[in-house]
Amino acid sequence: MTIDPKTVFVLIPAYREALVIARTVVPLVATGYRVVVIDDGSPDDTERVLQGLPIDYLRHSINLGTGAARQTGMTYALREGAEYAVHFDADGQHDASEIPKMLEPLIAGRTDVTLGTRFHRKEDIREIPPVRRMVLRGAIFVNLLMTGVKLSDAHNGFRAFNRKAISKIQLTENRMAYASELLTIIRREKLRVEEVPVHIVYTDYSTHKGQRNMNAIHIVIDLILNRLF
Amino acid sequence: MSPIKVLLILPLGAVLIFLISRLRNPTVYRLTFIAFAIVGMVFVVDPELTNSIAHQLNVSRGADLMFYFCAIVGFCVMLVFYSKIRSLEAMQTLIVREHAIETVKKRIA
Repeated sequence: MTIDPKTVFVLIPAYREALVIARTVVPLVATGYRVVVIDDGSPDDTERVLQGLPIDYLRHSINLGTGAARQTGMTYALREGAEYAVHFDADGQHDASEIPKMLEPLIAGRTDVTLGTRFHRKEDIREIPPVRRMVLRGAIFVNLLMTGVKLSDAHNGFRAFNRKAISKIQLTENRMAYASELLTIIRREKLRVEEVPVHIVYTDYSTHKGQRNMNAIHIVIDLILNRLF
Repeated sequence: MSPIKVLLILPLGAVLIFLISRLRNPTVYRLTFIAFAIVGMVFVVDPELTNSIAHQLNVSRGADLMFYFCAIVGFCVMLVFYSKIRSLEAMQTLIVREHAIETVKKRIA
């Protein structure tokens, strides 16, 4: 089954990514998908480096967090008539050529959400730095405890959704805890999930810029507080 | 466990559960704080009352009892403020989101 690529919205939250964002966006533009950058109040040149590229550029007037930026993208995609939405990181960790693989189960109608996983193929597992691998194993366990959803990976940020899922998902966690909240919503709304093996590129930039391992503690605290309030 | 410990822990737990479930209802927490204030005023008017209550609860001094009382009040205030901050943050997020969508720059090829 073929789809109109313009009904696929690739959502890229960006905060202080001026150095790499253009490199991430250009291959996506070439795919023909509708590329949406959600600038989360960056004080750098993010907007300037994207000028001239055929994208939709949304800007939060203040920095809210990656969860809030993703939800802004989802709300926008829904209103613009998206059939599919893809979460894609701005820091160059994800590969644009893997998007069709993420969309295939959705287009075939087998599932509502696809989540990228680094733990299905040995070569992908080897790529994960050892300390990060340990933290991720812990995060997978915490996710299972807190959301009841058993997955092979946690928080890699490469996901795809059909329209039904886009309309059901309303993230309220503004920061990193959104990823676990997302799983809670998936379970609550009885959305079908399939994991798809993806390759995550660990560059010096993305490792330095990405989640610090200690953030796992903040994520758990945020999740508990969100449950209470 | 001494009576004071039971008397402090049980109500604290009950107040916590009650406040958490009703934090969005302004009447509940306003009335709660009015009740705390009235109790405080009674203690100011009749300080000896704190000593006699303290002795009945197996606490050595009224001042200690007041300290425990203030700890409970402080904890409740913290919960209410945290809940308020969460609610304000949610509103702020919605406003910022709507503004971002309204002012989108579309550069579709």
